[in-house]
Amino acid sequence: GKTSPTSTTPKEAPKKSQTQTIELRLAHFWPSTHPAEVELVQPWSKAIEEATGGKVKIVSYPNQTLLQADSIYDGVLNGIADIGISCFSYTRNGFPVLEVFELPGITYESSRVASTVAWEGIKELNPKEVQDSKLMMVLTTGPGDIYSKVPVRNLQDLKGLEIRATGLSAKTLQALGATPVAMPQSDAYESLSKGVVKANLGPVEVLKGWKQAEVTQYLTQTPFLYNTLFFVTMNLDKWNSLDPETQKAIEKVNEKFFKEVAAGLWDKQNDEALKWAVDEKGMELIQLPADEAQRWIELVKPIQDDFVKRMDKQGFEGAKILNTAKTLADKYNKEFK
Amino acid sequence: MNPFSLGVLGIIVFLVLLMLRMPIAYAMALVGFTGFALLSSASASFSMVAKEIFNTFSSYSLSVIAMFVWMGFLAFYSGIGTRLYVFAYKLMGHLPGGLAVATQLACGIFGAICGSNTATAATMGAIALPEMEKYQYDTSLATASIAAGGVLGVLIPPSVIFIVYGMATEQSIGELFMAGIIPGILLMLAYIATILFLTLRNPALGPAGPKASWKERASSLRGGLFEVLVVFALSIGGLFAGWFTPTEAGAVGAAGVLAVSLLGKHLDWTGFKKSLYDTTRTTAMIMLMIAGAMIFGRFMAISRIPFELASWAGSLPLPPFAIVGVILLIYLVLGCFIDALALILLTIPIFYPVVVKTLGYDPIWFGVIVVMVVAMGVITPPVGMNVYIIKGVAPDVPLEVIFRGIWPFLLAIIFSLIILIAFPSIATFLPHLLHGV
Amino acid sequence: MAKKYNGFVAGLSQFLDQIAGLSLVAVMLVVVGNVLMRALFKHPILGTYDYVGFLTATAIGLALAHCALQNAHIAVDFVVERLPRKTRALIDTATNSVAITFWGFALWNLAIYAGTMKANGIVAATSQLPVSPFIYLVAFGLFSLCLVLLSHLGESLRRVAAR
Ligand code: NA
Ligand code: NA
Repeated sequence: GKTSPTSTTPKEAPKKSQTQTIELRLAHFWPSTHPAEVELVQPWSKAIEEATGGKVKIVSYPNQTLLQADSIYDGVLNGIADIGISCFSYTRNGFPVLEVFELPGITYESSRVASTVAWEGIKELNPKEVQDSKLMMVLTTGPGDIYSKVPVRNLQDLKGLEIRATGLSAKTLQALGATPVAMPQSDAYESLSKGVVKANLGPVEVLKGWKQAEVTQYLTQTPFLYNTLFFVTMNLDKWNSLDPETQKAIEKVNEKFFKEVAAGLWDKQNDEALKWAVDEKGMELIQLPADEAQRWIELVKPIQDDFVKRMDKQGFEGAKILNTAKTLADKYNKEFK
Repeated sequence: MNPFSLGVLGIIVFLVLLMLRMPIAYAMALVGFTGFALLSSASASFSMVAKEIFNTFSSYSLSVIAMFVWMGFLAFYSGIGTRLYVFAYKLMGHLPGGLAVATQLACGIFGAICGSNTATAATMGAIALPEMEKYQYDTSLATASIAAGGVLGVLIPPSVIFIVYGMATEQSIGELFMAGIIPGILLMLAYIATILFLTLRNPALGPAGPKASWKERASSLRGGLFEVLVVFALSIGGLFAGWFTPTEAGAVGAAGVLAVSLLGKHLDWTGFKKSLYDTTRTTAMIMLMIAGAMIFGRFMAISRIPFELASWAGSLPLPPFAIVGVILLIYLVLGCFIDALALILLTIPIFYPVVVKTLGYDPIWFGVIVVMVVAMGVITPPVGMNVYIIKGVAPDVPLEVIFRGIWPFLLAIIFSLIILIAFPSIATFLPHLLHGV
Repeated sequence: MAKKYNGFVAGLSQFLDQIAGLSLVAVMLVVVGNVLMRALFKHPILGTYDYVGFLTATAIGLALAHCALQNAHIAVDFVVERLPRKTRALIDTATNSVAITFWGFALWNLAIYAGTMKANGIVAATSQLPVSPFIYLVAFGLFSLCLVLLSHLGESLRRVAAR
């Protein structure tokens, strides 16, 4: 993984690169059995290796073995890893504009919708906050649901209910009258099992991935309450050190993998986890009637307003940013039906 | 130089620095930094060091160590630890090694509150070591038995390492917790047998005292001890009733012992200050060592030593049990240098598919085996976290004296491992019973 | 001169250690307060998770120097102890110099890290507290560790010079 010369002229680049493979370290936090590694990182790395004629080779470090989850973006900037995948929200305030794609009150029917909205939205808004690295694609968990030990059918059930949540989700739950309890996901299983918290809010995948279906019985679908945005990004110097031909080849692979794998990666997992939770773990599925859902959406509106206000204060056009996300969400909710 | 050889060289340099009396935390951080810098760049490596230090120090999950350590020192300075051991002495002191046996039972019970072997060793060390010394127990036996007893903290649920294993392999954390109970008790019994064997052979290691009457035993419960037992029962109860999480249990325990000590007027201002003073010293030592281990672990990761060893073992043309044997041996060797948590994160992705998917072993059983083998690493030299922690709470005891006492307990772990390999149902029985498989 | 310096270092590290102790008390109060507020009033202290992390970082960072002052950072000494006095002093001088250099660079980089976190306005997820002041505190803790190591270095140099 030695740094390649940055000043190669395009003319001599192909000659040089035949003898020199560029090894890139990729850091992410999922376990090595997770679809993010098995279905995205591995095939994507292989495709890049093939597309660049073996010039670029990616070595994956899953499971936080190279960088802790909340240090991944920064670690890519500093060259600890060459490529990193993690959540934007782990560095809160570091990506003020991108928060728009995680705001509650915007409905995403699927992860594919949410991912496509975010990726197109980012291209459209082109926020300064991600210009310090080469963003290769983004993906999302898509909608999150409430899984609980007691049934949650309406706002009354939610009142005072202790739900594990951090950051933006905590604000969302507070707005709905629930009692958010902040703790790491790794503490959630024990806490749910003993009843320290009565519910969790997140993508259904967590039910299976973190085994929380074992300790909860009800699942309330809330496709307007939650979304988490992941980045796949590369160190800018490293990217600029690649010759244009290689860059083009990689970008082509990226677009293909975004459309075919990344955008809908969580849908597949969410579907599997939902089936498993309901069929094998006997969880009860609860769907909110349309008017009830509307009441919830009204209650979280102030969080959107607050976002717009904060954006305006920081010199962005808050309303325009929010509108971009909403318009794209409407468009793709219809298109991917 | 290729990454693998650089990794090996790094380990050698690390050992040399240890021999030159450089503090272990410094040596791990320094070698980890240098190796990482050579394999990437100096600026990347410095940035890595800065992040690991701050992430470790500010870790919510690790804060529990500080709280449990404080609980231990509070018990010591309020004299509650002493009374606890007077009671234990009256109860079991007439047996050779009776107090050491009682300490193992205490480690096992404490393991039901505490999910970390580090915290278990530190807390029990702070409470039990001064007392065993008072009753003229052999220092080597006393220190080593507590360092080894800390392992019970991760075998008996709750357990940080089982959570990490369950996450990395997508196995049920609940089943893993269930699976750890009987092996945990088995290991505790093996420790007790070891202590009895050692002290029966050489009674001077743990001199037997006079036998106390039941009346004397009951009366030794006075003086705040009864209240502490209530605090302890409330802690376990509160954990099970869902009043607080295992991460919160440390602070709750410390608050409970502090409250009992203050209400019973067992603790004065000086004692309180001393307890804090010992706690900051001990936890600063532990956390800097964990940060060093993390930095060293990053270097090991990009040297790819663990990955290459693991994939080599998986491809050996040997019968299944022999491959498992080789894998355990690799864990034992790597465990000498790499801390438990990092070791699991680094190796499980490669070993797990081999053992479970290819060789067809039970994933839950393998989890228990791995936790046990990795836990061996926390007491083996040169990097034996629990031994260092005991050294931290008992600064006057030379390191080699503790390591010398470790060997019999290492044998006890190996013995328990063999039993577990021969009779896998010891681990799988409870989880299967639970799920009616 | 050396005596004055050592006295200053001892005083400083003891003072920092007292703040570290207070931080640990605060950790306990916050956690127990959160447990009680949650169990009794259904009103947990939402930022507990963040506060505990920051307070622990403060405690550990500020306790490092005092820990080193008492030689509590564990080392293997049975090899060195068998060597002649002069060799021992030389080895200690060398390892101390290396350690000071290394931690010096490390603290400098922690400060840089804090600087970028500050520039980017990074805050903790739930409490919205800025992260950078606590990184600066840890960097300062390492700085005071270096001060202690410097006094150890002076002491080992004296042993080298002594007959
Ligand atoms: Na435990
Ligand atoms: Na070891």
